[in-house]
Amino acid sequence: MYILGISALYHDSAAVLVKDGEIIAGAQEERFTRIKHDKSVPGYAIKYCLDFAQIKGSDIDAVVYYDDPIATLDRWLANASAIGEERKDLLNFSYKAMFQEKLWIAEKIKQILGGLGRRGKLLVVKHHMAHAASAFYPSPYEKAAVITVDGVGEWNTTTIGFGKGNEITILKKIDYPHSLGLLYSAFTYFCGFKVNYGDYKLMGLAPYGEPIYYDVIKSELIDIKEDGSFRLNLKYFDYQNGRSMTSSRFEALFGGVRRTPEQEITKREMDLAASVQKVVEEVIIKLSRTAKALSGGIENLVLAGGVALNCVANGVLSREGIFKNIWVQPAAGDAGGALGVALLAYYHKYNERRVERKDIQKGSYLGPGYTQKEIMNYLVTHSIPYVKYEYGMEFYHIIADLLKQQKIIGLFEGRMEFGPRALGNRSIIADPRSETMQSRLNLSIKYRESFRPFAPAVLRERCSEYFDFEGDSPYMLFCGYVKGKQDTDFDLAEYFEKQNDMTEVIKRKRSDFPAVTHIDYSARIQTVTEEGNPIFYRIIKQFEKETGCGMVINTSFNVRGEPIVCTPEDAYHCFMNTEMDVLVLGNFILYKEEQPERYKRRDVYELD
Amino acid sequence: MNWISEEAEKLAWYMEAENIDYKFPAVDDLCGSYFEDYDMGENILEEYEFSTMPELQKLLQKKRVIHSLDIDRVCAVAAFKNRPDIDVGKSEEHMLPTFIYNF
Repeated sequence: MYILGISALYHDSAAVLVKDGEIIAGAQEERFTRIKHDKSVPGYAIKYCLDFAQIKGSDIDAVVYYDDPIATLDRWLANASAIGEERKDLLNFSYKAMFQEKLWIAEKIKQILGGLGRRGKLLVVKHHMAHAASAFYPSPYEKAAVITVDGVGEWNTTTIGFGKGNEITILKKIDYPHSLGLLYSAFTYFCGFKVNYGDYKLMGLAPYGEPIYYDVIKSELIDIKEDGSFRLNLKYFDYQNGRSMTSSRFEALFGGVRRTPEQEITKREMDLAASVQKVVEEVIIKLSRTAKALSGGIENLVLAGGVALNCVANGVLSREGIFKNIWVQPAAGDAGGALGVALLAYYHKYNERRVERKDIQKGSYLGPGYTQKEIMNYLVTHSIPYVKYEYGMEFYHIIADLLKQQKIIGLFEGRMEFGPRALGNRSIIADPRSETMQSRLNLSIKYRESFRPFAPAVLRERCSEYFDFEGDSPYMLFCGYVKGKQDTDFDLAEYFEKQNDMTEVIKRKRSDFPAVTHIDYSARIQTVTEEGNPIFYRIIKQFEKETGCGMVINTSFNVRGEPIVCTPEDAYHCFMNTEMDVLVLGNFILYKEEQPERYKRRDVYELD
Repeated sequence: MNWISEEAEKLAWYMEAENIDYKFPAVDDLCGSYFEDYDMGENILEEYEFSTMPELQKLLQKKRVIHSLDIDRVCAVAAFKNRPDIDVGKSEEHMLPTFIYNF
């Protein structure tokens, strides 16, 4: 039985194919169209899923969409009628998308697929149920409390539920316009980052600041109850009008107009980021206590929705110890909804028993992979110089040695990751011990703001030696703190009272692994096991043998504004467009100095 | 459709919509929770299908929280107005924006 799950028309369109309860393929549309966060109906991702399974659209038993268009229209109309004279702007902004696209989703999928599978009708699932399913079904738990938090889906912004066997029951909800995701997005916008796509930058900025606005946020912007439920003070926001996120009152409250993109970041933005981060953590912890109580004290929690990508909050939650076990859907945003609805249809509509597998998410390596022959064909066709190795000691030694020489390596192996994180198959890797690597990577490879830290990919068995983090974090969704802190006397607040220059702070060595140590000693950890990703594990293991260091820097294989690379061609172009030193394409190694000048070109992506 | 003659219905819908509380409530210490119960509904997975304006109207009537035959009809018109194979009636083509602007 094949079930195709689809997310589209909001953010991060994706398709996921489930066969007899097993997730066999999944990808975001952006990886194929090369348009970051592409929201169009995911024709390329659907084609990939069908090709992977070697089936036709007519072989699919059910096609399932992650949003109920009528419920969304209901909220749209209610919003339009409630906002008074401002409604004209809202209509101009979203009228066409609502009536010419969203309502016609079945028709649009039918055109791409040549039908709607054997059922002949599209199935739709409520947005937060899709998130809940994406969190619970792939988790290793038979029973779990379920929390979903995002901007908005139809009417809902937050839900608490419970999963048992093949059933999910949602118990409580908070509805639009009261939204933790939109509160965070308002600060993202105000601090000069892109709404929906710059939230992780705000999270990365938070450790530089002090939460001096925490009290004012709580007294003016959000009323939080002990059970984690909340209401927003809407006079400070403008998202109901569809124009911007914040109102002039918001500006007045926080000392002036918002920062524009690319403008210098000041202490105000750092403090705002720290303050709203603290508020989000407080809500998440309170919601979790309520979820635990509502689920009868169970020890497992699963999370999804865009806010669940806040790995700092996840780390705080983990350390709080409310639940023994926490599992976060790696594609916690909208893309994961496609995965959730496909599994939900399998378990619920067809009443199938829950499939028991150790790693149902399959490490999130669900995207396209390329054979040795396909990679070689690409290299030979384009006369690209390479050295071929067998996967073995020599191959791993060469990569480890290059890392030791401070080379920056593009790593392209196996199947592409599903979700926003690169987990070793479409990654850029480097030596975390280097004091200059963070700046080098940021400025000459990623072309992005230099304040953001890089993540360590660490051998699972050595994780607790380096970080105060116990357990697994295979999807880079939990933050821990680096052990062996250095430079602890440095007063960050005092420094930023006098100047805004972040580069001097970044240069300060704060641990033996400065490139992955954030300003507050936190790190966004990925634990790597041989079972989960054998090639990536062996690369790190070899690096450990040769240097004693059981971790590498792992950042996504792309430049700023570009989606993560999908094909060998994408990888080669990214390699040639940047100061990357080496490209590992499967078992082929390419050295920059040997590459033809004619392939050097600078692709321009809209900055995110 | 004579919109003017249906002013009463329109007004009723408007008043109903206006009753939805979007304003920040005064912080109420007596209120222990802003959570609402989640209605799981009859079906977690629902078939979504329409191919004509009446079918869409029927779907809207069945599923929308705020009930209004007028609004359902103009929504159906708005959804079908760019379909070359469907005549929604020239006079009604642009009714939805007008309808909502004039509330």
